[in-house]
Amino acid sequence: MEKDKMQSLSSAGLDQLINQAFLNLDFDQPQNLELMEQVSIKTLNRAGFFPSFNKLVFSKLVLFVAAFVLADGLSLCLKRLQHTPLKPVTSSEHTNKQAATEARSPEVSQTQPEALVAQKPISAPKRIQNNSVPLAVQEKITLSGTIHSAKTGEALKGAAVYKLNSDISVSTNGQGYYSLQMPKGEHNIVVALLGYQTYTFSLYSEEDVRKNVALKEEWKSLEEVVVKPDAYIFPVLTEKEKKANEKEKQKMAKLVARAKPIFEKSADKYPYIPPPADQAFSGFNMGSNEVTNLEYRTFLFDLLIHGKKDEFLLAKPEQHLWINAADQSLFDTLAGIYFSEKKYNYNPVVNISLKGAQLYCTWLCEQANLLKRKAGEPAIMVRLPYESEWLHAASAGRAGAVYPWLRDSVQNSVNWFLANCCIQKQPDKLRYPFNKTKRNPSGDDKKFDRKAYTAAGMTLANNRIATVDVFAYNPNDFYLYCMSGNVSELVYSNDAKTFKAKGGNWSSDAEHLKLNSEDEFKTVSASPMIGFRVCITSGK
Amino acid sequence: MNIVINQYHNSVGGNKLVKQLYEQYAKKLLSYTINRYSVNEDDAWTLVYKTIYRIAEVYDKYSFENEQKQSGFVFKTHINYLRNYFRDNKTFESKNFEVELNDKYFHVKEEVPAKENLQLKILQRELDQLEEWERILLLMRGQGMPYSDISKFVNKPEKQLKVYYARLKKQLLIRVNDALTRLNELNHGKR
Repeated sequence: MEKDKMQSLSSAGLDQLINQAFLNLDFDQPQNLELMEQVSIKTLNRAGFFPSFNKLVFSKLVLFVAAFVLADGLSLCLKRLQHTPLKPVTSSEHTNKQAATEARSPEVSQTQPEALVAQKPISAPKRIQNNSVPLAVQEKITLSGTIHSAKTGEALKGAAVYKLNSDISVSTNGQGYYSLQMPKGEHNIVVALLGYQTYTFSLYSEEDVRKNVALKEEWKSLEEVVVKPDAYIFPVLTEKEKKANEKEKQKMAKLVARAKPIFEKSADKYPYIPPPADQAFSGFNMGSNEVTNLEYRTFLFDLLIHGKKDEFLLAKPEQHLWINAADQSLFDTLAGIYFSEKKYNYNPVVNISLKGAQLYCTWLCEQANLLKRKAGEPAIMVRLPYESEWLHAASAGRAGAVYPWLRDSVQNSVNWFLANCCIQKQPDKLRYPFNKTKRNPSGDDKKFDRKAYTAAGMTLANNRIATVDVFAYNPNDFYLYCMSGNVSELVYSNDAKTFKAKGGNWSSDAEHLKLNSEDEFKTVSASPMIGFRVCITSGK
Repeated sequence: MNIVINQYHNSVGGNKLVKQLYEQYAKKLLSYTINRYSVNEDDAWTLVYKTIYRIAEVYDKYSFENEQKQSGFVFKTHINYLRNYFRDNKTFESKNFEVELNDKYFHVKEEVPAKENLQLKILQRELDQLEEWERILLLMRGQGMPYSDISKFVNKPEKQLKVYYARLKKQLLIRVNDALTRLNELNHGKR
């Protein structure tokens, strides 16, 4: 039976859907509970002032207040006019503009004739004088002063003066002067300059304060640094990076722990792969995508945070392998950026050793089992798939399938590629033009790089010259992405004695993308063409 | 020591408690339900009454540290009813049939299982892929929370949040629509 088409979402539709997602949150989890409490405070404790408050009401209110203020101002002007004596019009006033100017100046008013003295501006009523300082300014205090060296007494330029745990900061000028505005109340102020001891003081004031600070010099002798020729410099993570890494780790572990042994044609991160018809092995969950740079980086940083430097060195990707990859100088630039830059976060991780892939699986397994143990659920195992498992998953259970998709070609009916492969290796086997569509039957489009090496370079953005986003192209019927192409995937051979790399990669021709093709790599080791995906089974 | 507030402790006893709860929460809950979830007014009132009566029923069993905790409890109860409401309405779709009976035609309503809400599933998957603060930003903004409050909650500057929100929503829309297109192609065999 033909299924109904799902219509694409509009922005408003997305808003509604996000609100629905809010309803479906698991409020037993602390972060969601906290979120719900925040919304409840807003909804039930504050918003109730105007039950049906909306922008229209607000704009009317603003207009009303503006009109009131305007009317007040007008009445004041009228009052001033009433109290101002009529200005005598003299011929001298018309002719002598300077005299009139002087008349407005209070300093020279004594020298003016009586008639002109009367024109001296009437001082504003007291009410206006009192309100002349804006309320916002009244509530703030100013801290100012100079920063100088305790030893020489010279003014220090560029010293940072800031309030602790806030955005309020300023640096001193050439004369060592600073001025900082902040709300009334208690503040912790820090004065810092390179080469001087940091000075911290507390301040509680309701009035402006002037404080001069003398900074003591700080001398630190540098320890001798021995540079070994082959020493690896470990990255140093900031607190913020550590925190972000921890969050990412929790997210990854949660997704693994959530994997369920139910086959759904939905967007699960680890969809369930049912057992084959001959029941040669039991069902398992498999990563819908190849392991990404972001995921692998999270793993590496976690090793670093926990001081497992030996494991880190075993697992870190050999980025120099990008140089002269596929006998091309085209990919050399990726060596410095592929693993570390944010734009490659969702590209598959490559250049990793077999040991690295296994360590990643063990690490992910440990993290997920921690959550499982907390929830009182049985432990799971995360590992690389066996060759038979991988083939079954890639073919979506269709015995003898050529590709993960139904067609017997790497291109679809309008010549678009179904996977990321090398297009320069089989020019005679491909159908042209690549971008023929109903709207564009001739297929002419200048956007396409005709000299591209890979399908990724041909059809996608400039930066994706080798591998492509792990969620690119359509998934197979088990909802697994990029089973053919992009990167070859590490699997155990069926006897579990050796490793194999299956599925073809960005540098393979269409033949090697076939599921049952001959092994492309005689020996499997770290390579820019090899990545991996994990599978999850029950038991330890 | 926590201060325990049980505002209506002395007034427990049927209608008075319900009336007090009604005065404090009913209009706010009603406006929230109608404005945020586009529930029709009749159903919204039903949900509000359900919440209030439920709270009145169990009020004696709980004590709250402060008024905010109490509001949180009321809100959570209401959210549960709202969730049930959507689940019941979306799980089944009513279809009309004509049935011949004794030479007369009758219109009969039959409830059939509705389609799985795939859009929501896809969105939830995409939300899971986001960073925690990004997810919170989208959800809180969807609930009409001002940026200033969200900024305190996720510890990010308010002005940046506005930009992040616009970008995130744009990206999310593209990704959800991409996934929907792929699903359509999968279901219709355009591979």
